[in-house]
Amino acid sequence: MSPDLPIDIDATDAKKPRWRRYLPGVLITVVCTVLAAIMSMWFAATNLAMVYLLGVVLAATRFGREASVVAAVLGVIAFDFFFIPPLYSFAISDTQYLLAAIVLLTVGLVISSLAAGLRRQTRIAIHRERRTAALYAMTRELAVASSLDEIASSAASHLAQVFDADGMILIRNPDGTLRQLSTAGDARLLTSIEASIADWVLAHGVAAGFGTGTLPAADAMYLPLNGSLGMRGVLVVRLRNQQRLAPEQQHLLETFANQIAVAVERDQLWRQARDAAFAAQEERLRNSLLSSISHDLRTPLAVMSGSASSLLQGDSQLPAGSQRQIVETINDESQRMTRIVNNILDMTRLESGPVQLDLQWYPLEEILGAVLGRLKDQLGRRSVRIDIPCDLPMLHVDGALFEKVLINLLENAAKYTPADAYIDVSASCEDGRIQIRAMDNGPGIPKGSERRLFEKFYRGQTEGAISGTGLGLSICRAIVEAHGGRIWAENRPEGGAIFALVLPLTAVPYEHTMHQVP
Amino acid sequence: MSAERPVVIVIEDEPQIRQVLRVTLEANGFRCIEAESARRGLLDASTNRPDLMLIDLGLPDRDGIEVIRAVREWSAVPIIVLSARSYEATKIDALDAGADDYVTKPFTAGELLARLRVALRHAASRGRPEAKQVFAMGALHVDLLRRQVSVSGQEVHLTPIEFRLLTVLIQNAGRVVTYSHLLRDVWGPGKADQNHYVRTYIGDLRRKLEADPARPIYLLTEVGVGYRLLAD
Repeated sequence: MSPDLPIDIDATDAKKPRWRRYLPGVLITVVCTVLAAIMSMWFAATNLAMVYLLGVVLAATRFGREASVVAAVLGVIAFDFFFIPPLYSFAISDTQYLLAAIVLLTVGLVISSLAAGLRRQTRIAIHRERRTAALYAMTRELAVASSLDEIASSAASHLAQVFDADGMILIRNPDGTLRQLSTAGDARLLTSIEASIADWVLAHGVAAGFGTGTLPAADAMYLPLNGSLGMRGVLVVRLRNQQRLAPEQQHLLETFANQIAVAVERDQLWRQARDAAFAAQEERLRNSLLSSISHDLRTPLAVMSGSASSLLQGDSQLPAGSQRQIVETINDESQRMTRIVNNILDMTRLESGPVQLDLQWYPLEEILGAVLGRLKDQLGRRSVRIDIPCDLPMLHVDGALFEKVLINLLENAAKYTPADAYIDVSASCEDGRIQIRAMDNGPGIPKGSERRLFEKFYRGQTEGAISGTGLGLSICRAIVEAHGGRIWAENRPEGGAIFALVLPLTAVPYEHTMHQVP
Repeated sequence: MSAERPVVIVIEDEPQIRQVLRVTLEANGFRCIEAESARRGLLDASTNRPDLMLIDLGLPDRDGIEVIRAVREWSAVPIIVLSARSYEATKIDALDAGADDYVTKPFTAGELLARLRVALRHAASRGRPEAKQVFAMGALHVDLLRRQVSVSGQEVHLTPIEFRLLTVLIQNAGRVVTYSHLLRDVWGPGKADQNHYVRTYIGDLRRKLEADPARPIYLLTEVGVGYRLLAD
């Protein structure tokens, strides 16, 4: 890709050899002389000076300062030689002709100077316009970049387009070291980066390397990325043609670096703000967990220690029936505490990182059977009706975790329904998914809280009549989502709650190939 | 070492749990030897010829599973594992290392004593396989020699694999049997990791033996670990 901008304002003229810059002035004088010779048949000699003036204007506007000066000087000489008596000599006999010659020379030189200035202004304006456009294009891209890598790649592409250079951003880590951001097509640059120069630039906040006063022997430039709140990193730029940049260009490159620094800083500050918000939320959750745990654990603990101490104090004075009642209370409360602690442990385990699933094939019936066996006491007189089609595919789940899902769902149903309620558990397979539903005919879910139920520490009923940490359903959600499924709750039109979950269906491997006895 | 009072070595570092265990065990006719560390427990085991060992998996000086392996090098004494961890993999590791069964803390006295009795009975019958020709439990009646199975007097026809599966479970009645144990004993070696075969056949077996296969009363599931055939 070739650079968009001229290397220098006067570059197009400066590059030509000197004689080519003067030549148009000579040619224009020749043409003017021919024209003036023809016109001299009808016009007085002094008027012919105007023809030369026109030539100077033309040379100044079209060919630049050198050509116009040549045209002005040669024009005066030619005018004097060919048209001022005595003809064909440089002598001037009449003062009026002398005046005409002097005016011609003066006006010619002034015009040439003005026109050349104008040309230069135009070029500067065009240059500025292009520079602004290039900066604008990059700034616009940087503004929408949503990651450091995106910033790096758009910076690299603009550096390549505008300066014909490879660019790379080194970001400052919190510990002061530098880290490369990945960009496309930077393999050559990567190998030539000199860490010591980059570190120096980071420490001093001044550009170094190629084309600068510090370590100019390096083949890349190292520019500081200076954000408003401190150094953000270093921009490394390697010009592909290895020619020094003109001051204008150097300036533009520094502006680029500033824009990149602003973008990097914006991205980093945004991330910091987000992390801070996240940490604050975690903190709130932790506080809520602490208050929830301390309440939920303290209640059964108080009951147990109260019961035990009354047994100790009363000794044998208590009737046998009361003693038994107290012991039963201790037993019940210890089981309640076990459930709470297990829930807290499960949640901690599920949240401590990605869950390692021990995926195996289970018939739903088997897990459900184990769950119903465990919950026998809690379900009490509630009748559990099971409707599982016999051709339901096996579930590909972590058995122990999935058992917890069903335990929590049925435990919830038992907790929130009257003692004679019924609970329906059904399953179906459609659209490549297995759906499992647990329905009850209890009071249902408070309107509007269907989603919040699955949040941590949310409880259907705020007063402490029903015990629990409010963790059960959020554990269910964490487990189901770890299996790639979804869980939700809704109310039945005829009253009662439905808890439903879907799991993606996985193809069962060769199921019945081992019927023969080996 | 009286003949009537079976000797149980308890290796457990928590003094409160040791105390509960001692009270429970002594009240139920066991003699209890307490050890607070793996080293002490192994020493006691070698000098006291215990009838049973109760080993906690979280010992301060040595991993409980290593203790099981160490005991198994020279003794077939029944070992019951006490585990606070509910991680199924740990239970399977302990069973594979040679433990007979496990009890998860917190446990109930009834649960613990049932496990101990099953383990003792199993150890006692180890030398006399003919003692288990007939298995009867509730409405279920199995004659292993004649290969006859009946539920409430009604004869049930089992496929050869189902019968083999039932036989292994009966031989270990009351104890948890891991998937790998069942695969090895029913299908032979080389079929590890095929746990779903076991589950499929257990499902078939339940449909034939249980009144309500979704609420089994004989063939119980220990999710993630294996199965337990209920014994009286």
